[in-house]
Amino acid sequence: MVVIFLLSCNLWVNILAREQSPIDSLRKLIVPAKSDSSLMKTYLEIGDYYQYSTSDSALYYYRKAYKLAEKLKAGKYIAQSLKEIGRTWYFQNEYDSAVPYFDKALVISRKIGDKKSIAKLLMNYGNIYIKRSIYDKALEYELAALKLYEKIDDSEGYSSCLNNIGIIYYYQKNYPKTLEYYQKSLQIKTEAGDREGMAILLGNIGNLYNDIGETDKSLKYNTKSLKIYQELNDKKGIARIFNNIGEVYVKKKNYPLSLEYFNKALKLLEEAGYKRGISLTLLNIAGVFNITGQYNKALKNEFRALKLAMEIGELNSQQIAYERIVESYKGLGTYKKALQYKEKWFRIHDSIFNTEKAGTVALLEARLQSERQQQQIQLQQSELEKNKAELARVEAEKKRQELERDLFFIVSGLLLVLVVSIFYFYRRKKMDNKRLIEQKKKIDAINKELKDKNEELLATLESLKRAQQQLVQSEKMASLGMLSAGIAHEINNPINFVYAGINSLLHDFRDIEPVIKEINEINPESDKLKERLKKIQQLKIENYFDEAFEAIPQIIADIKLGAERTAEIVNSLRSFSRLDSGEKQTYDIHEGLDSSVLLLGNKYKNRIEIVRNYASGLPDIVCHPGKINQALLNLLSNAIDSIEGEGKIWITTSWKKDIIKVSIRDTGSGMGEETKQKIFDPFFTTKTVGKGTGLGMSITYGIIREHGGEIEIFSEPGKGTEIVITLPVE
Amino acid sequence: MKKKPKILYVDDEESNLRIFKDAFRRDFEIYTAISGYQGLEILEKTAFDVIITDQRMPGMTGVEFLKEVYTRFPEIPPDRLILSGYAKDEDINEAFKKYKLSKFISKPWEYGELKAIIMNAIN
Repeated sequence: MVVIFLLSCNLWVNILAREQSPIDSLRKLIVPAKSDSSLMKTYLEIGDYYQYSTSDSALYYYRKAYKLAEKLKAGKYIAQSLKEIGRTWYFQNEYDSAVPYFDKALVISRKIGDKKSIAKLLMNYGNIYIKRSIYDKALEYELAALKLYEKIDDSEGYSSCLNNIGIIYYYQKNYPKTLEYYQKSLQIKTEAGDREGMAILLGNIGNLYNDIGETDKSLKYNTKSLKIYQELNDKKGIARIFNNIGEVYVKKKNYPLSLEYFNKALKLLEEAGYKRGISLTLLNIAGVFNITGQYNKALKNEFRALKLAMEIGELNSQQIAYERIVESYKGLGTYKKALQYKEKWFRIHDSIFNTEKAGTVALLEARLQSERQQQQIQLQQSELEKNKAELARVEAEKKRQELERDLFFIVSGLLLVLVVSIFYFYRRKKMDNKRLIEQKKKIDAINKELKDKNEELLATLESLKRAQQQLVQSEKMASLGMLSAGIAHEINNPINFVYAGINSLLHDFRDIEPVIKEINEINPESDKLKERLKKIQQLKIENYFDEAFEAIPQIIADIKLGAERTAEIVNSLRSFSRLDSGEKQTYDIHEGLDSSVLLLGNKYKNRIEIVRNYASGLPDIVCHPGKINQALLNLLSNAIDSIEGEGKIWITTSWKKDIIKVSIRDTGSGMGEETKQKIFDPFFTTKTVGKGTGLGMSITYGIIREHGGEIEIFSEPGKGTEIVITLPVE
Repeated sequence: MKKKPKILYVDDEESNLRIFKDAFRRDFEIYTAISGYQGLEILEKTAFDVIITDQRMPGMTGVEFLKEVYTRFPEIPPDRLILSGYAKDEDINEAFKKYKLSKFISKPWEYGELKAIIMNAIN
């Protein structure tokens, strides 16, 4: 029995909303369609049937239609089902969810050249812009749609567009233009005999006249509209006009009469179960109570309206409700409460603003969320369908049995079903609404989280940028460390010549000093020369004069050699000290290569032979010498590191026109394809932790690219590596 | 006159050898070798009080030379070996632990300091 009741509630929604026979629609659902194509059309029809009332069901059937259309490759229907899915979201005020479907539908419609569909989509975009209060964009789209409708001579679409443009002008408070467009639209609707359209337009015009204070004209138009709605038996429409008329009487300060109309509207809407309408009508009533100083009565209505608006997640009505509540509390003189609700008003005002202006993050999030919802709904729907099939069987069985029973039994049975199903319908609806509100809360929370995450990511990005700068600096320091180790070693021998040599020189001078002194004191006139010479001879032996005398020139030569070699090293270091100079200079790349080789001495000496094949007449290049040297040093250092034990490195330079080429080839371990792919990636290193920053090659690459050059790598594991740099002369 | 102590100095730089010899010839009897191999040859024929070697040399490093000395001439008393120049910590540690190295001095050396180290080793 439960199964039957569940289904019944679905049907009852539609009866109330559309005044259609439940059995008709049941047949539509149950009777299996003959072909995919007719099934697809049936699905679309069912979707249309649910579109305004039960969006979940509408979406379910449109999706089914979409799948079949895809299967049949029927472009027109693919576009139509996508468009209707979008419109279903639109009616739910879920514009971010709607847009992607319109986008897809538009692409397909343009492809197949379906102008009517294109026009309809353009109009839908326009409507979304209206709802989002972006009127210039809205006008742009509506006008484009209007043109297209005119071209294909579609009066229905054309007049709808006119109406929408009227609405845009209305929101912009350009009332003469509004009226002009409403009238044009009305004329076409009237010519086409579109009763519903006429009723809408007459209502719109009535509303407009009321706004500009022409209450009598307003009443005239509203009454015309009401007549048509009554003919069509459109309760929602009638209720709308009752509300309009009520507002006219508010303007006329005839409050009892306005209340009467509002209450009539309320009754109809309550019958129809149209919560949005109920909520708005309650607020109208509350407005009258506020004006007439019946603040407590007003508050009662306002809170009821607020509750309904919250249930259906309608932010606009919530905002109006808060506004009215504030008025009522002010009227009662409870300013604390008034303030409290004013704050709530601000909050909702902000959240409306946020909903409208939320950026792509919200859009993506909404899409994700809606997909999740869809999956859930689809799951529920497929279960429901199983139930429907089951129902079909049970129903048939039941019908057979029912025929055997007397009429009275059938009637009373039906009545029972009716009562219980109403009960179930309300319960389910309530639960659905609760679920929707919870989902909305969840989405809001996720949105907030995403916003926070976004900010967090931005902060992380900033700190990463800083870290990157620090790493580039640390790579420079690492090169500098490598350099200083090399320099320390290269310099210690020649400095030793100078340092120890001077000491020896001092000793030697001390040795020969007495002899020289003695010689200096010789007086050829008076002295006993022989004795003196003998003493000199003796001093010479005592002081190892000959040894010292012989050693002196050699020591001087050694000191000179030491000083020269030290100077040479310091010279080659100088080009590295230009690391950060801003200006470009002309530079002999051979000098850079030689300096690098010299400074890397301690890393390769006595194990690696370095062969230099330098091209003669190699032109100087215009560059940052410090940076180029850093690059060459990195490359040579890597070549040296790749050789374990003994090996060979060839440095070859050549040039052609304005391009110079430097090749550094080694007999080292080489590298595989994988390493080659990653070699220029920052932080990629084959060295053990702490041995390399992993930035050397990445920075080298940067330097060469900065100079308009290129780096090529030829390598095979076990066979060594050749790195070729080409650099433009200027 | 007391006999001068005998010192063997090994270094691949000719200038270093000359300067060393000139600086210390008044104090010690100096023998020099241009490589570890030559040093070992000299050791075959002559006994020394102190052996000093540079670390970084082609063919045979100072530590390798000390290792050879340690295995071939076990009679040389401990605390008589000195290493100079620029070397990795692990090499120096190895020499201290295994090959009786008694002192490491870095270049450039200073006459007075080095003399004191040598005298210390002898006494």
